[in-house]
Amino acid sequence: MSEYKIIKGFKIQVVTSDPSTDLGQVWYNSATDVLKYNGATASGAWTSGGNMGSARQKSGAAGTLGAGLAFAGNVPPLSAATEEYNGTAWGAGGDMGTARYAPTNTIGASQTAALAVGGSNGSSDFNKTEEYDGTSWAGGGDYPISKQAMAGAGTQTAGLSCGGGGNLTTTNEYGGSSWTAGGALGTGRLTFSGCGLLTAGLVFGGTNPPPKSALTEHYDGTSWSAGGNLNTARSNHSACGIQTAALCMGGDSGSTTNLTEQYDGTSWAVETVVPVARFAQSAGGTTAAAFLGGGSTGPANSALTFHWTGAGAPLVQTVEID
Amino acid sequence: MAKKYQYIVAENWGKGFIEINDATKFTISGFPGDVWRVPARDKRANLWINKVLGVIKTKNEAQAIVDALVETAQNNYDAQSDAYKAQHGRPTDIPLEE
Repeated sequence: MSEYKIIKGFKIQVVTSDPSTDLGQVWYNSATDVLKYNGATASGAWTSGGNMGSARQKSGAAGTLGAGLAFAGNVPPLSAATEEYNGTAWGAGGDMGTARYAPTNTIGASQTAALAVGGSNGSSDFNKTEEYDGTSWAGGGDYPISKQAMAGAGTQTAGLSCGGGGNLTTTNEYGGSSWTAGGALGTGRLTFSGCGLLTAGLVFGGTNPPPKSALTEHYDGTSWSAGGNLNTARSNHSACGIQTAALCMGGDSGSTTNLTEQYDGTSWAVETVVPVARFAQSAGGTTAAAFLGGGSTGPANSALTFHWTGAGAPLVQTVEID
Repeated sequence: MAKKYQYIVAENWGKGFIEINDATKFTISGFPGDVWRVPARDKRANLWINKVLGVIKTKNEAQAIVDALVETAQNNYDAQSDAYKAQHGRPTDIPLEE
């Protein structure tokens, strides 16, 4: 039998608590009597995060895993509430001026500079825009049309919102105070999702209405062009990331789905499924680290949050000797 | 035929319920009613069930929990207006595998 010291030139370190190490390091934890190493996740993985304060669907979302945001939605009743996520727990943020569901999802780069536009109260759609500063919501420039179920990309000062009920191909761009017309979507749709930037935006899926769409489109700040199709057409899914590294999570593919797909700017690849199938969830983050909270399982709204860890992330693992 | 899965009921308390060392070792699937499915005869899955204080259910018992919630949701949907139905899909049955 070979010895570790002969192969590596030194002994395995004995420690009483797991150290912060680089990938590939091995140590023996004498407090728990286990041999451990810092490996890397071979594929993406979903883990549990903190539960939301209220189970709701069709909320807007923004931010990152460590600084996320969910606002509005349908509990029921309609909600104006904002929840802020710190990667562990959700806490209350400032209420929106107008309770609504299905505001543009996703728009706003951060927890402290998010944008909500449109939405519905069930009988009427809205054209109201609201801006969040990390504490409270303030009115922004009205959207040109009252709409719900649009998709969005960008930031509070350079954003876009497109599609949605009514004229399904419309795109409008936000400069921080008002909306101006942008390039028309190639395929009009609603209940879809977007991410990325105003000048490098991404939208995918949705309905037209029906059937479900698998189509992806890229925005360059002026016009839309076709991207790679989703493997599974769906609506009411969630999105995060950028045009060249995005996630599509859950949704309705005819039934509630837990399928995850990852985009590389050209094509979608099937990834590890979400533990619980849900649609109309709130999401934020990147392909390396994201959150996915709320939504509906079909029978009921959910308050559960899951964290996405992309492939290649450091992972302390126990060496098991059977 | 040997069963592929085992079912439990456990409340997801949030962070720590499914950890990265669980998620990368075996597949955990959740269903309405706090029903969770993990591989049968899997040491790590059994350790996870112990961690989350899961109450073991037969497949039929788990299916009954899920069916009751789906049926309630379907009845609620059927009572909604046509306008509501035009915008929302009817909750579908969720068959669990043995």
